[in-house]
Amino acid sequence: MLKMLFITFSIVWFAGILIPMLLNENQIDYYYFLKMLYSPVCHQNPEKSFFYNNFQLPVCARCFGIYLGLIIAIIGVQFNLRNKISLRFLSLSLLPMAIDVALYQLKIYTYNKIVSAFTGITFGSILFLFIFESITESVMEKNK
Amino acid sequence: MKKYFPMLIAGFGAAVLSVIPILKGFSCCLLIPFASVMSLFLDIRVNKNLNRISLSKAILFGFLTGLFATIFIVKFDLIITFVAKTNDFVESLPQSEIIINQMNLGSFTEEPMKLMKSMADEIRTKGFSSLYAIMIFLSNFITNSIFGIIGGLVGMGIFNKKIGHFTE
Repeated sequence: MLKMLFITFSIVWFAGILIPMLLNENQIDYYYFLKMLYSPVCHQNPEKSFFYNNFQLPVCARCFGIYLGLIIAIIGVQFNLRNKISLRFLSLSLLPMAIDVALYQLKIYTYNKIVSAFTGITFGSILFLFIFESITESVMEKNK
Repeated sequence: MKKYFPMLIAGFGAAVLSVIPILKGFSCCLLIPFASVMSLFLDIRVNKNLNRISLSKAILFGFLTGLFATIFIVKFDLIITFVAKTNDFVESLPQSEIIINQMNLGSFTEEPMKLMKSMADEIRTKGFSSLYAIMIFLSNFITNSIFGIIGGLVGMGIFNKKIGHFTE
């Protein structure tokens, strides 16, 4: 039940990010409502966000990557692609993102949306699998 | 009361770090989940609790850490605003107004703009606006409780693996 709730919430959350792709200029009110809805979880910097049809997605490229990774992991779980995610593997998945952030903050290279999205996908998918695995283990233990 | 200390301390720590300008940007996505993990760690260390962490406990710890962090974040924000008689919201309002006007959204934005201006005026004159306080509390509460629960679930995975490793 809780797993389904978690998956449903994740899908609805990601679908909300993609809604601007379906909007036209007459539906700008919906767009601003969406932007406001996602504003507490992302800085929404236009320079760091993807655009579609002149509409900026309501989260930045990195957050988009994290949520896309989450959806990829959900699809993977549905096809029984489950692996034990170790703590070391979880930490390693964070590494590309940490390096990307550090290099950008140190002004060694300029921000790249594609790189940010890919580092987000890596971390998002592994994080979801880790959380999903720990929920499954906890539920199984409770049912013993 | 002792069992709430880990959440209280972790929430307070996250709130203190979230006041620091550069770290402020990572407040919801990194600091709060990290605080939730820390609250579970403190519970293990302080309360000498070496049992496997249950799902409900992880969610409760995450949620309460998010809640306590929200309370302290709002407190700090209101105190700083009261002393300085300005904040990020007031500073960025003229810029936001220009952007909103450029969008030509018509009457749709008039009322929200009036409200925001009255909030900014109250902050400039009295250093406090009740509407602003409610607004930041609600937005912080929603975000921090969600990210707190995510952190709690991550913490449950981390510590159950460690506890399992020790008890094997």
